[in-house]
Amino acid sequence: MAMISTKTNSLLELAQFWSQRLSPDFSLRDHEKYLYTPLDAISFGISPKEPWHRALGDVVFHNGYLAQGDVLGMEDAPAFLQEKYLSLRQKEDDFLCRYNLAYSPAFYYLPLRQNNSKITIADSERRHAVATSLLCYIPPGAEHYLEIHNMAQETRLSHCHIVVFLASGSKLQLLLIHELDEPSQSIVHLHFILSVESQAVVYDLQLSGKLSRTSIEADLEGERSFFSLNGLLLGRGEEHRDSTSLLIHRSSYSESKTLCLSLLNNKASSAITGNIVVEPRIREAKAHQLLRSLLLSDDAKAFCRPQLEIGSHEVNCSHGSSIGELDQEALYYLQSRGVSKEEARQLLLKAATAHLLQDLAPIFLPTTQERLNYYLKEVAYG
Amino acid sequence: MKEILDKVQEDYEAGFVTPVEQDILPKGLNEDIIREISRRKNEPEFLLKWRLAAYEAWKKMPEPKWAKVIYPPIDYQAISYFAAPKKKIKSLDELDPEIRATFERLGIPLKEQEVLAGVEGAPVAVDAVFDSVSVGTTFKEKLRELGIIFCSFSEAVANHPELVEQYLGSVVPVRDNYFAALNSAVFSDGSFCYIPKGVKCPMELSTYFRINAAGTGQFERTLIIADEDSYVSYLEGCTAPRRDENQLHAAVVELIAMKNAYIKYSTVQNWYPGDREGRGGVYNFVTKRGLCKGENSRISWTQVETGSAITWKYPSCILKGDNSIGEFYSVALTRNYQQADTGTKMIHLGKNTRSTIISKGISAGKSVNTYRGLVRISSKAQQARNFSRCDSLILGSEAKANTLPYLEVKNKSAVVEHEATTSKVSEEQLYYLRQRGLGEEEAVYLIVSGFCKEVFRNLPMEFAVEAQKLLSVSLEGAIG
Amino acid sequence: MLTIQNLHVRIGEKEILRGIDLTVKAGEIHAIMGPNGSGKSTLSQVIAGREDLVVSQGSLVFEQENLLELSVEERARRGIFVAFQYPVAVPGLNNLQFMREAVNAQRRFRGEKELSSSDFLKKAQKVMHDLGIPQEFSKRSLNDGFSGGEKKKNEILQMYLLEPKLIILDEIDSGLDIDALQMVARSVNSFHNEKRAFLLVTHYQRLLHYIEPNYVHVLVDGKIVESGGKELAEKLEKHGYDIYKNQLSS
Repeated sequence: MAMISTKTNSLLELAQFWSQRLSPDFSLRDHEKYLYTPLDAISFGISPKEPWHRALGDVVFHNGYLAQGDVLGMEDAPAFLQEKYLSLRQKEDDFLCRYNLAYSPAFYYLPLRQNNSKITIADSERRHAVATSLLCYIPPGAEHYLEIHNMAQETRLSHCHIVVFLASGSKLQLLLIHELDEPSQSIVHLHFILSVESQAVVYDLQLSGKLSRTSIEADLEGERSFFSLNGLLLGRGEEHRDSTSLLIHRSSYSESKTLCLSLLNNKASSAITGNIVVEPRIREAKAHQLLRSLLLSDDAKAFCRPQLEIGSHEVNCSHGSSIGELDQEALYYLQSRGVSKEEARQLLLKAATAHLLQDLAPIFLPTTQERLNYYLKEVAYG
Repeated sequence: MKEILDKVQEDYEAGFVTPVEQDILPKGLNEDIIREISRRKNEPEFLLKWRLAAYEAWKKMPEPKWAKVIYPPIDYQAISYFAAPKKKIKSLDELDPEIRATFERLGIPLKEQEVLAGVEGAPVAVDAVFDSVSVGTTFKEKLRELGIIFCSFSEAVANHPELVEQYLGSVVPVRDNYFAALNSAVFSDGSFCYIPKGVKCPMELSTYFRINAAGTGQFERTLIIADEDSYVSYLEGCTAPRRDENQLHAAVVELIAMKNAYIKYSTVQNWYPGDREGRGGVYNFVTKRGLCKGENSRISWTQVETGSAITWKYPSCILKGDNSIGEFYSVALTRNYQQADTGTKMIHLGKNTRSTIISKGISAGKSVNTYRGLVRISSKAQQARNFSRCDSLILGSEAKANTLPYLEVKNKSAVVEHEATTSKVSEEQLYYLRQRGLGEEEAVYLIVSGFCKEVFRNLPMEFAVEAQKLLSVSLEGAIG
Repeated sequence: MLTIQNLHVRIGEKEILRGIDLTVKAGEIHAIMGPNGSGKSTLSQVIAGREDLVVSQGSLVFEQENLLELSVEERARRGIFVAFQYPVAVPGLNNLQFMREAVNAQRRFRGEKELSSSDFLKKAQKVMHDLGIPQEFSKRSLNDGFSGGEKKKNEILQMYLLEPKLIILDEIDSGLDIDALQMVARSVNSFHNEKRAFLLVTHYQRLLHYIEPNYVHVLVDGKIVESGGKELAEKLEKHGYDIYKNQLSS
């Protein structure tokens, strides 16, 4: 890849730079290795030919999102934010993020001044592909609840790129729901920059759609910053669920928690990659990570990659991962009390998710409760 | 003092230059060289063909770059591929004083030190040193009675070509990876072992006792076949630091366990790690893989890695037979500028297969210690079980520890569990031990050896004692 | 044996001990009593030599030697032993091996011959037998998976094997049931002689029913506010520490 000239000084130039270099009618097949599988995994003997590598065909990006709350053009964002945003996007080497940059027709800025807001990503005109770029800013000391509802329909590929700056002492709870129709494929890339004592708690619910992927990058830049990811991935049919997180501890006393659970029936598959990096000379960083997959059918597949890269000895890090089936004893116990197998499964699945969602803000409950019940049932029955 | 050290260092570095002697082939690798290697070794046609196929494959392969290790490009045409006689040093006085000190601390007898260091006039094989020739001979008698074949690879090619032809490359095919392909094309010698049906090998087979031709270290090949209902425990390497003028090492080890067979393979690797600034040192790119071919077979890898500038090594198990068991126990200690990228692959193919991974990484100084492991449960592997535990201990503020497991499960009846922690030696533990009168280094050593206990207890007894000692010597000065 | 004069100790910016004076002679048993946060544990740790404690003023002398110049292990080798309130676990480190290393480290310091594994084993087995400690203690990892009571018994076992001169029992009674408490007390009493001194650090005077102190000192807010005989403990039992708090605030 060519390097971006350091003279590039605006987002527009950067977008033009990439649009000239990336063909608008590309086939994802050519680039799949940049997408999901780290190169080292391929060389290490892991087959890149997983079902989620199916070519998406030629796609053209359009913009498509609806937001409740005040939305401004990027030019209305404060200069310091524009600068930060630009420098961040210059550094991106993710292939799809570059595509997004090149083909997202506009960049929007959400100041997030009220205490809750909602963004719906949907392609109202049912076009083949959408690209969305958003910048969110949580002011110092503010507390915010943000809901992102991804409702792509008949979309070959929806790619949404969201950057969230958390100013010092601010708090954010973010609920991301992937609820796509059956043929749609969607990728949401979230990038968090956390200042001193800021906190971000993310709930990633991947409920339906042929392919959904949440890729999260969090820079814990400020001391005592906190990041937590709670992912729930439900898959059935031939769906694929994907969660990739890269949490970088760049400051002392920073803390991260990752909890990710996938529940898979039929021929569904999931790939969960959790990458925790602790930079050298960081003191007292804490990181805990737990990745789990439950397989409900013989043809379901799960991949877990819980990865730690620790460059400091003043740390307390642990990770765990497990893949298996539902507790057969418990299933049997419930059935012996007269509950049908599917109902019993549903109950156990619900129990498995309870821990993950116990701290979900009440403001999100109206959106989540019924949906979860519905999709858990779908997964339980397959 | 410093001058002396520099002088010794120079001498050591000089050791890495291939000596010009009459009997060696020109440097570099091409088809002619491979034909010549095969001709000089009097090899049968099949082996030459096999080597050439490996060479063809190697030429087309890129050198792997995914491991978390950094080293300058290797010039493969600057290496002499025919077993060149090792450059000898005149006496132990020419040796890196640090290595000498280590010899002393490990309590290695003088004669043995000379062999390990490659001093002129010293016997070639270590077994000659140990209390005599008789040990070697009686040992061989005993094995012959049981029908066990244990010999150098060349001897096996000469005397048992049918076994070699049948099994060579059956676990690590020539195209498996870059370094395995290179080894397949040019390997010089190594060990061969066959345990017949129903035989439990009564002693630990050790490379100590092997007829150790000079120059086998660089591209070594080991093939062990345990036939039905047999058992063997095999030890490789030794705790003493081994000096070798060849910087690049690319060995291949293949294990095959038939029905009900059990192979226990233990390694202590302590190749020269380079000096305090990270200069010199061996690059150790090893492919080790075991095939649990028959039902109820079991392969167990135990390794203690303290040497080499770069370690790239993943002793693996392919669990093909139903109810077969794969195990991997590892301690990897890195210090100064050492880089280790090591771990295992457990490929579950058969029903009720089980695997256990226990990895303990200790990084000190400016070293990088990476665990990389793959657990794959294929769709046909009903009721497969895996448990992995990977703990890292970081000593000092400039060391790095990475844990990179890959878990792939395609069968719902599998249970795969992975746990890992990264920590330092806690202040509380140190304080407690020091309050009982133990010095700081002693206390750290006791805590670290406790950390490694789960692995050490899988080593054969006397090997475990040596490994403990090696650990304590390696930790000296590593703290801070 | 131990002389503490005007000792001031800080952790970070916070002053925990604010001028302690205490003299302990061989053969004596002193009890240091005080409410939570009074600085009791800090006092035992500063004698042991914990490094994150800063001594800003005062002196600490043990058998004519200035302890402040000695590291933790150097003090231990001179015969100072702390039975910890929360003994630390070291997984994988064999209990017996650890004790032998510790005993031998101290013997080396005293210029005595080190004990061989078998000699040490015999000695340890006898002590364990005498104390009524199960022999399986020697097979386990140091404090790993031990119950609260087992950990305290393990501390007593170490005390017997290391044979120190000054023994600090830091909240030895916390988390013990009555049987374990009696065992610990019995062991301490039979270990006590005219050459050894004890410092009992405790919140409750329950322990003092079993181990009788010669002196009781009340520590509140980093200062010894009252010293006396064992009758002082009874007074405390009746009135609690509040009387001192009021004194201080007024």
